[in-house]
Amino acid sequence: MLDDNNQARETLERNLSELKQTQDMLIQSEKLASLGKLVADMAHEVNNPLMIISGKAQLSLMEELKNKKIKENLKVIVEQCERTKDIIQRLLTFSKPSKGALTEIDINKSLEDAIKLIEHQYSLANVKIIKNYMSSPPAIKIDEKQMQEVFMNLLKNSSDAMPKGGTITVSTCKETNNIRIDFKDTGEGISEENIKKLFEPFFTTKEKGTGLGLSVCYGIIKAHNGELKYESKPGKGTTATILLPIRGGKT
Amino acid sequence: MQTILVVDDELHIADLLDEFLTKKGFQVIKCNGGREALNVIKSDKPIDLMLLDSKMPDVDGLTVLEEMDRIRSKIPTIILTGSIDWKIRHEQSRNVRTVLIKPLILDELLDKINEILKK
Repeated sequence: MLDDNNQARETLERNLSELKQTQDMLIQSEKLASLGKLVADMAHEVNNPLMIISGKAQLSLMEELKNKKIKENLKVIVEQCERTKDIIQRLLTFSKPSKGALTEIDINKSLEDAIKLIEHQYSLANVKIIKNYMSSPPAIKIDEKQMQEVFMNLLKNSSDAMPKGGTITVSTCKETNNIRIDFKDTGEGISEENIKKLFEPFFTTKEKGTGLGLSVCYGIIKAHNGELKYESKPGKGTTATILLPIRGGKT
Repeated sequence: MQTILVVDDELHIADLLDEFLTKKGFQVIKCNGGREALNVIKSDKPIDLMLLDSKMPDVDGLTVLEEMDRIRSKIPTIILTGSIDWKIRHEQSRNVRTVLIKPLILDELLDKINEILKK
């Protein structure tokens, strides 16, 4: 009788915890959707004035300018407009990712390409990458260029979380109707409070981060009808998980 | 002299494109909306190329392109847009040669124009 009660209590607690998790995810998803709309509307409104500022500066640069300082200042204006344009395009990828070219790919190969690229671009000093891939993964149709951006972003984040070095375990497996990809690091971990804000545009804990990387990743994975989630405990590392439907490509 | 039709509801943008292209030796016809642009297109004035804004309050870029298809106008067009999303939608139209995202680097725009006009 006591055993039955204990078992019932455990089941109830587990169900409640799952319910709370689903509720948190729904709240987060709704919050990000409304943020996305705001961002998209704002981006549309900002592009035209930005075009006017940049264009007028470029026209002024075509004049005979004797004052070198003015010339330099105008060049900076044009450069900074280009920088703002880039931020806006990244915000739009978060709120409404474009439908690029879908190709059938081998997920293991795609991960390998991303790892090679990131090893080439950043020196992953003291970071060891362990690969644990499933054999013969089912082919899935994705926008490979966008997915590479996601993989590289997650790998870079894992690496940044381990300034003194560590390991990143990249694994792939089949989970019901999805391909599951995990990036598990041995870094410093993320607090519960920060995990809730990870996908929000401009949220960053890095000194030089824009806070757009994971927002863009979130948008791309959503557009593939997939899921991106983080699990972490401070001091115990972080796992970023991507679920991609095997059938049912991009929206 | 080659003629470029510039269509943008933002007066400052239409003006600066006009100033730039005139400087580079083109004749420019400016329109501040899609409806005005369609009137020019239907008037049979010789136009070598069109720069078309995507989002306009009266008649938007997509509608202009659809109407051009309907009347079999063959003016090569460069779309100027603020977002990649519009880029994809416009690329499907017959007259569109390329889609550029605002803000533009004017010299890059000029290269595109020359490339299209040479073909």
